[in-house]
Amino acid sequence: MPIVFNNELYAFVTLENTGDWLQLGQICGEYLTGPDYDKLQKYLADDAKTAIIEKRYIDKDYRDTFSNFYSKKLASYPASTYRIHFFTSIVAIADLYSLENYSADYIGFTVIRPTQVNSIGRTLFDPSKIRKLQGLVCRTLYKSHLFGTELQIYCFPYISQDTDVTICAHAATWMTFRYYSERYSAYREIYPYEISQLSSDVSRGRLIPSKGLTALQITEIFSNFGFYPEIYLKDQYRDKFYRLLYYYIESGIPVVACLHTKQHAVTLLGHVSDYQQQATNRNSEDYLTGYVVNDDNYLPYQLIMKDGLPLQGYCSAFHVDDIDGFIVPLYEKMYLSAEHIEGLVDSLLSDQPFGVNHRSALVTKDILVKRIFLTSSKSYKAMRRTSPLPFDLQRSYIEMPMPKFIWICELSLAGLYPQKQIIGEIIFDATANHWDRFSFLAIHYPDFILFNDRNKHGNQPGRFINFKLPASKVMPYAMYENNLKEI
Amino acid sequence: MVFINEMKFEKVTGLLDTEEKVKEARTTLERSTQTMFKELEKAKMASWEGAHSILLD
Repeated sequence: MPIVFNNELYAFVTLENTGDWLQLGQICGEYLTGPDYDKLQKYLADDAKTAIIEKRYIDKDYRDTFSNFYSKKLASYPASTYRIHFFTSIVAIADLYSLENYSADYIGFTVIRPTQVNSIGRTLFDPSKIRKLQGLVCRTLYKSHLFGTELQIYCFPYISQDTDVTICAHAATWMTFRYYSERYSAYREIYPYEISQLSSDVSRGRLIPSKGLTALQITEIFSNFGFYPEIYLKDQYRDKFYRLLYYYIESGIPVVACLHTKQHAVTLLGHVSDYQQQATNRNSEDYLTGYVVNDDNYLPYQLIMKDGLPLQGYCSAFHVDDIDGFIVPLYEKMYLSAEHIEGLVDSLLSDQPFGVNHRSALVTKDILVKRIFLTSSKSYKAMRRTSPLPFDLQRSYIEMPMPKFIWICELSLAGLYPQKQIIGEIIFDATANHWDRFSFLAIHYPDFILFNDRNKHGNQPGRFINFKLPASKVMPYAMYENNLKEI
Repeated sequence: MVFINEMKFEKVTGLLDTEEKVKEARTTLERSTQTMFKELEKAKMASWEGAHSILLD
């Protein structure tokens, strides 16, 4: 039942049946388009029980496009938006000034823009409050304020294209930027119109109204924002392409994926895996069943499944095979790329004198399941401090000088991987040159450890310290799990 | 590299203890990755070239 305060600034709706949702639609009808209402209703009908609507909300992202574009049209567009907050419980009217009592029930909010087309603007929904969603995803903490109460949302940001200033590729880059700017102070907050102006160097003709972006322009936008992006095309990387994509997602780096044949771009922000599957290629990517994506034509956290697998939960009509390119926004000091790590790992595990068959009496290369990812040394050391390795080797890792980012190849066994346990790892210096084959910092097998002093150059024997570890059997320990968070 | 807590494990005898052995290890890794790294270089260049013609709406 809707309650409208002074018929002006706020409205309050409990969502107990279809009729309540229709009333929500009527309250927001001036701004919320029919297709967007349908999307929201289907997405949240099972979980949202209360909606609180701010009817004159000044949204920073819409205000940016309003000032630079909509205010210049003949038709008058409002300068403010509607913002709808959703809760999983029925909020009592008497509690409006103490909403902290409902913080555990807060799903988040969506901004409704008066753009007439594609009205869903900045949206922050906590995926763990929406039961049909699943997967491991990049998430960070956002705050919103309602009736003087600070509410928290642990989520990945979403926005839809407005089709004037922004198209799908702009929306996909905005989602990536907003995630980084909220999570890391090194990145500034940037708005949709500003993003549309970041591709001027390789663009021909006018930038707005937008007529689409090429993959190269997306890369330019990333570069001009402050990233050091890489482009991967399926035609060029062939059989490696999907593994490389997986390594970056497993690293907690959201990427913009190109679905060229569909002329579409989406943001990949996580994955779903089935650990009951066989790891036929002895790679953690074998367990992958799909990716979690933000496709601006739908609502956030959709699944794109691998071809041939059954659709589940909130699923896209696209398949993983439709992804034929991706652009990964790397941080400045991530010089080594995933493809070089994969190549080096294979050689290190095989060749004399580092190979596992030469250095370990307990495991052989053919039984190892590899898991490759990038992470910050700060997070890795912090995790290892509380999650030790056999023989207290974590102490050596914590002490070791490491660059800001490290590539890690964790080594597991088919029987241990589903329990998220590993038996060794190879750690790489992400600031190394890929032609430097001694770019690793440490190689650890169950009964062997080798450290490589990256400050020693050339072929000095003193650069390596190695030991036989007194293990009579493999001693599993916890894999690193800080990059992605379970919904 | 010196660790605060000296590791009291047995060293692997004769492993990478001369300049020749380290050089040989480096050469082995270079040989086994050379072809692949050159192919990756080509793939990278071709991806940058190809990205110009991938229009996304």
